[in-house]
Amino acid sequence: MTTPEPLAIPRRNQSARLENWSRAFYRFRQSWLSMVGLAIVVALIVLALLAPFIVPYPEHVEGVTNTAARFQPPSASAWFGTNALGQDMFSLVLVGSQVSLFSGLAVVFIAVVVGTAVGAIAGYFGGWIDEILMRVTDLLLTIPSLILAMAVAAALGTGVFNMIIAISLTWWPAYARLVRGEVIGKKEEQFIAAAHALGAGWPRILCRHILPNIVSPIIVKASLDMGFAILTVASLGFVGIGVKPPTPEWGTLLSGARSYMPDYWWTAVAPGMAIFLAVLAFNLLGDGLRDVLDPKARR
Amino acid sequence: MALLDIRNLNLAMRSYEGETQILHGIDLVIERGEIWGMVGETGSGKSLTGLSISRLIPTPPGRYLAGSIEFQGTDVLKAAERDMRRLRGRHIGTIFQDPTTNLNPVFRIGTQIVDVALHAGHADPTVLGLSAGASRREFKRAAREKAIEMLDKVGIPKAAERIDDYPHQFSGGMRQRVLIAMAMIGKPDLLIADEPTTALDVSVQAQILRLIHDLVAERNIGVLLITHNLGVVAQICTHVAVMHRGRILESGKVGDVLKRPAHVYTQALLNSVPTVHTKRGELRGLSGLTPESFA
Amino acid sequence: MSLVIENVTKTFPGQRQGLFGRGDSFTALDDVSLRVAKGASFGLVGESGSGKTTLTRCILRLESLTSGRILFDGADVHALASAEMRRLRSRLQIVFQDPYASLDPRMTIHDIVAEPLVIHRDVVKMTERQRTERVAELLLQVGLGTQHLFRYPHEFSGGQRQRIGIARALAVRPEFLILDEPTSALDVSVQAEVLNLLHRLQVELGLTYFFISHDLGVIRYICDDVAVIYRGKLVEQGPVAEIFDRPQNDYTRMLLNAMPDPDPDRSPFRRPAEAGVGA
Repeated sequence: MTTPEPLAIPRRNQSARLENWSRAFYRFRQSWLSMVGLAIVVALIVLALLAPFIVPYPEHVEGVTNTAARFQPPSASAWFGTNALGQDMFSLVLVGSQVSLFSGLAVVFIAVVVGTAVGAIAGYFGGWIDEILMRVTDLLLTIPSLILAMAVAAALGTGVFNMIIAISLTWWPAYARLVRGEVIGKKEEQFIAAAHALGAGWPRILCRHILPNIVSPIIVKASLDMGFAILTVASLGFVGIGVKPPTPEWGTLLSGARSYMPDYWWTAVAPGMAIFLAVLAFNLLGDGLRDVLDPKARR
Repeated sequence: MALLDIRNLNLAMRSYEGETQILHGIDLVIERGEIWGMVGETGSGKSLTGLSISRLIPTPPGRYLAGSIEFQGTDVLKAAERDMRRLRGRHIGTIFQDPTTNLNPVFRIGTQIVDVALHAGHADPTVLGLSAGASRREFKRAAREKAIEMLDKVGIPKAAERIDDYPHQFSGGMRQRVLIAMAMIGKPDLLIADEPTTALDVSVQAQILRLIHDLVAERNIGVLLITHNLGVVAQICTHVAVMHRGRILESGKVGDVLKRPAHVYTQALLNSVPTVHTKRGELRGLSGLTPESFA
Repeated sequence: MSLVIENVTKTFPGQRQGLFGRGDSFTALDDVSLRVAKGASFGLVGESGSGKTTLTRCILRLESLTSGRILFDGADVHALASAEMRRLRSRLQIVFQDPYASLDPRMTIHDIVAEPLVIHRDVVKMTERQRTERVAELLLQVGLGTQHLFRYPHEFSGGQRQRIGIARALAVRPEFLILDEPTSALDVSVQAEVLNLLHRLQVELGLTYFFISHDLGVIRYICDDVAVIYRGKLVEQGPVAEIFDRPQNDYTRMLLNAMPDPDPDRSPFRRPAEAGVGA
């Protein structure tokens, strides 16, 4: 019945996966705006990682002041000028990118993990489990994240960690709703029915079949949210909760520059532009990813 | 002058792999009163040929390398977009495969079909039995009457009542009838039907084919019926073109082509259809064909 | 493995209307009884909404019964404990209609075909190496090369995907195969090849087929016995030759007449003379 001769089994290779990626990148490349977004995001991440090594005035970042050189306009020695304490704005903005990007990433990461777990379970099981989980989700959705962050800061004190927890707390429900909807949609697909018919149990169906197939919308939302997360972190810095002053952060820098407008405009423009660029870049990237990953654009 | 005259149509499409030629020198002439069946398998280019006639293929990624499509003497590929819109709404009716996705679920059947009637009426008021100077109200009233008349004509029972239903209240066969009614409302000269019965049950399919057949007999229009189903072609088409990989391998009268196929591919297709008379083991598929068969 | 369906009725409750009311309930299957002998090929014909999909779901226990019994080798499917049901699932497999939708797009062909072996590892007991070999063997059996092992479904044509679906169904060496319109999404030439493959596999492996289709030609080609289902009721059943040549029921007759035959002379729209060369 079966052939006795040895079977030729190819090595498990990555070429198919690689081709999928290059195909996806081809679609991504079709829009130059997405490419711009990707380029800025990559540049920001590289700069943030290298910041401690390339910063021109590391002592300013530590909090050293130089009142003799306060409010210097942008020049060759201080590209973005200096602030009220005579610190180099470029150094501050550069190192400030670390806090902004890191907190943004952390917020989105926590929100994705918690939201996916809750949404997947609610969507897959339905019934009263869904009912309970979703009502809790709805409840959290009603709390504005800034207000909650202020409350957490008031209760636990200010700080990066508390800020991240506070923002994540109000962000994961959005992911829970997204994932729940996607899971409910995917649950009806025929390959899920096929897995059921084969006798697969729910952990296998959820983890092996459903979740890998809904990664795309999560990635797209996460990417779009990154910009907004950075903005939220900056907002908290601006109103004075979040990162403590010696550590440079874009929102705090902007807040400090507020009283010197418009005479010493560069103190506001430098962190403002950084926030603007980061938010714009993540939004462009997210839009581009959506075009590539949207299942409707596939096939 | 022929109703539709496609000459040496060559189409290429750009994709990740680069540009590939999809249609290779398609020649096809359709006269009034003829029902042309265009048969071919997935990827043969039959649907793209149909879409080209109403110029519905975006360029890019599509690119016409050579050839012309003359509809009543107008070269479709060179016409202005404004003329094309008039042509699509008024002179060329199109029906697509899936009746569920081609009706907007949030609008009433009536709203959608009246819209089409108004569009056709603005291109040519005589369609609605009006003169050019008719008022807005007259247009609206006439369009609605026309819509009901067409629904009635395609066999929707109690058309005047059901016109205000939503698409989900209609069965698959009835939705396909609505789409045919929409395509026919501008009194088109040419009807392009892309797999109009593929999503339907055989009993409903028979009714839809009857409907198309009667429309041709009554209005003397030309039809291009794109299908993979040789049985459908044999039933209602007068002529047939067999497509494979972007080429028409053979074309002619249905009686000639299906009874005495000149090309081995046509023969192979015919040998692949299980009928109630086929004995087990008789189906052949394309297994006997080699690339040389198509030379 | 033999299948006996005894007086199966399946009623779906009506849609909730307001707080207390319910709409009319809907009877999807009405007193359906049939018998599929071991090694036979049984066809079930019906149009959309006839209840044939509901019946399949009931057989697989993806749906509960309102009344009646479904027996595999005498064991009542709906009364089995879950461990026994799992064991039964390894003997009973299904091939789905749409080869584009029934394969997980994010899994390699290897993982798709090996999945039943992984799920039923307590029954089949294979190492990973053995599984891979079994998958390669299966791909050859359904007429695909092993070079496809680590590719993804979207890289295959409809016919190839359906062969993959068949390979997956055969992986755990089942005795009974439910074929739910396995060729209706395929081109005719590909359909012919897949039908011949199914026939060959049945002979080689001694499988029992429960073949669902709306295409009478396909049923006639592959099946020994046939049942016609209309609005949840079996209107006629018997040997294929008998039903097709001497249909007793009006609905069966209508189905047979509506089936488009590729012979222009048999068209209801023209007299034979019209279709000929002289027309």
